[in-house]
Amino acid sequence: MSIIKTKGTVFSMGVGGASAAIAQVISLDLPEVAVETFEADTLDNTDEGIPHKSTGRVEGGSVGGELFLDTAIHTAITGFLATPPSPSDSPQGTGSITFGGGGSMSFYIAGVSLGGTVGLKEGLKGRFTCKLDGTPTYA
Amino acid sequence: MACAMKCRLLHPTPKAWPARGEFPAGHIIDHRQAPILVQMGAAESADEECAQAVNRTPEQLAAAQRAYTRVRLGIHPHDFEAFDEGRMAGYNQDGSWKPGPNYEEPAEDNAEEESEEESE
Repeated sequence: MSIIKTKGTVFSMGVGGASAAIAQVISLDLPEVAVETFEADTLDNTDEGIPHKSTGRVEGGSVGGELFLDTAIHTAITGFLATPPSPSDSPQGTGSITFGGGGSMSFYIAGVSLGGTVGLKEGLKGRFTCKLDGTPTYA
Repeated sequence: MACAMKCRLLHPTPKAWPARGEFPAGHIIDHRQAPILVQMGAAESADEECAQAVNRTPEQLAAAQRAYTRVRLGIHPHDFEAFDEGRMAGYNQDGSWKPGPNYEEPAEDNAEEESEEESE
C-alpha cells in the first residue's frame, strides 16, 4: 500500500500510432468510471431501502485537464478537433496517463473538447476533455 | 482522403494502446498525422510533404524538440534547469531524482553547511 506521487505524471495521446506526451499540463481529472444502475423498486417491497440493480453496462466517463495552452505545440488536441475520426475508425483515438509514482491507465478516445481562459493575472490556460470510448484499462 | 506523410521519431516512443512496446528512436512513422508529431517536437520530418505540412520555423521546431525531451519524462518546471544541466534524468517512484550524467552528491552541500556552522 502506498500513496502515489504525482510529480512526473505524463498524459499522452495517440498520434499516428505513437503515444505522444502532451506538454504543459497543469492538472488532470481522472475518469469517473461508473457501473450503470437502475432503480428496481416494486409496490410490494416492504424494505425501507430503495433497491438498485446493475444494467451490466459501464460508463467510461471522461479524462479532463488544464494546461498552459500553446496551440503551436498542442496539435494533438487541435488536430483531433480539425480532423475528427470517422465512426468507422477503430480505434477512434487513444490516450494514456502514466503516473509519476508508478502505474498507468490507457483508454480509447471517442471525442475531444478544448476551451480556455484568458485572464489578466495569469498565463493563457486551456481546458480539455477527452470522452472515453469504453472503459479504461489500469496497469 | 488525406495522404500519408513520413516523420522520424527522435526518442523511443510508446506505441499507442492497445499495442504494447515502443518504437525505437529513428523509427519512421508513415501516417497522415506525422506532421503533428513533428509540431509537438517528438519527431522530425522524413519527407518533403511532411516538412511542408508542418509549417513551423526551424527555431520553433528546435524549441519544441528541446521541450519534448522534458515533457516525455514528466519533468516538473522546477527541475528544468537541473535536467538541462544533466544533474537529473527523471524521477524515481518516490519522486526523488534519477541521477543524470552530471549528478553531484548533495553531501557536499551538507559539508559546506557544517563548516559554516563551525566557523560561527
